[in-house]
Amino acid sequence: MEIKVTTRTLDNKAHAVEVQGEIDVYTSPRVKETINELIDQGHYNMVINLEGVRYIDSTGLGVLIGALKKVREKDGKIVLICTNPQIKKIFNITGLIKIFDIYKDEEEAIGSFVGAA
Amino acid sequence: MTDVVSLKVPGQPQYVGLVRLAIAGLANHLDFTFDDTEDLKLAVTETCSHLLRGTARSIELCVDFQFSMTVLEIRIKSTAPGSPGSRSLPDRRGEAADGTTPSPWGESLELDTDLDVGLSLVEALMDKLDVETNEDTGTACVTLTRYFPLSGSRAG
Repeated sequence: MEIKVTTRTLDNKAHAVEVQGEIDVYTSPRVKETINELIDQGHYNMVINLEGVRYIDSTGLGVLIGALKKVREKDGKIVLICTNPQIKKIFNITGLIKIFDIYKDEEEAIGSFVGAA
Repeated sequence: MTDVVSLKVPGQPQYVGLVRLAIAGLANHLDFTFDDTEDLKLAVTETCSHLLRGTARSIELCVDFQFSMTVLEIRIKSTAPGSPGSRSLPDRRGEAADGTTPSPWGESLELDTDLDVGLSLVEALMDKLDVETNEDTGTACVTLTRYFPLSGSRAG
């Protein structure tokens, strides 16, 4: 089972993290490592793109929550891009839909950073 | 008639995806809808992760998919001491006014590692969830039950 995690800098200086594959107990450490590297480098604003994610479990949700907690301590922000109804359903069931801002595309996600630190 | 499909995998994270693949194939064979199949995949994966969590020693996961015309039972058993035991699950069935479930992490984002979000998800997705531990044999067994819709006809 493969997972691909790539990062790039966006126009607004936030960082995009694009994840492709399935995020579970085996692959989530790879996602966590990438996000933590960005945080360690002082990048506290991120757009995490889950459009290429076919599956996510509670381990993956834990990684996202952990990252959000860390960046908020630095007045940063993490927003998600996700339109997959199955993935969004999991955010709904767990109540995380109230904690994460979820957008349908990158343009909308970047727009949410207007006025952010 | 009841049929059983069994799978035994090493208790390592990289094999959880294999169990997920198996339930996806079986759910397709049993004509579950796409949404139901996704629910089953998530429930099975969460259960395997639950059994693997907190175990440092080598274990095996034995998975039995037992199905008849009316019910699918998935029994996932870990075969080594130290597996997480049975625990009372927090009641997450009460829904908020807006139809969502209160976040297990809360608004404060305090990550409570003792709170088993995974099994709570399973409980929400399945018709029935049983968790048993046998201290003598050091095994833990989680049984997930999903009833078929009454109108549905099933392969078997």
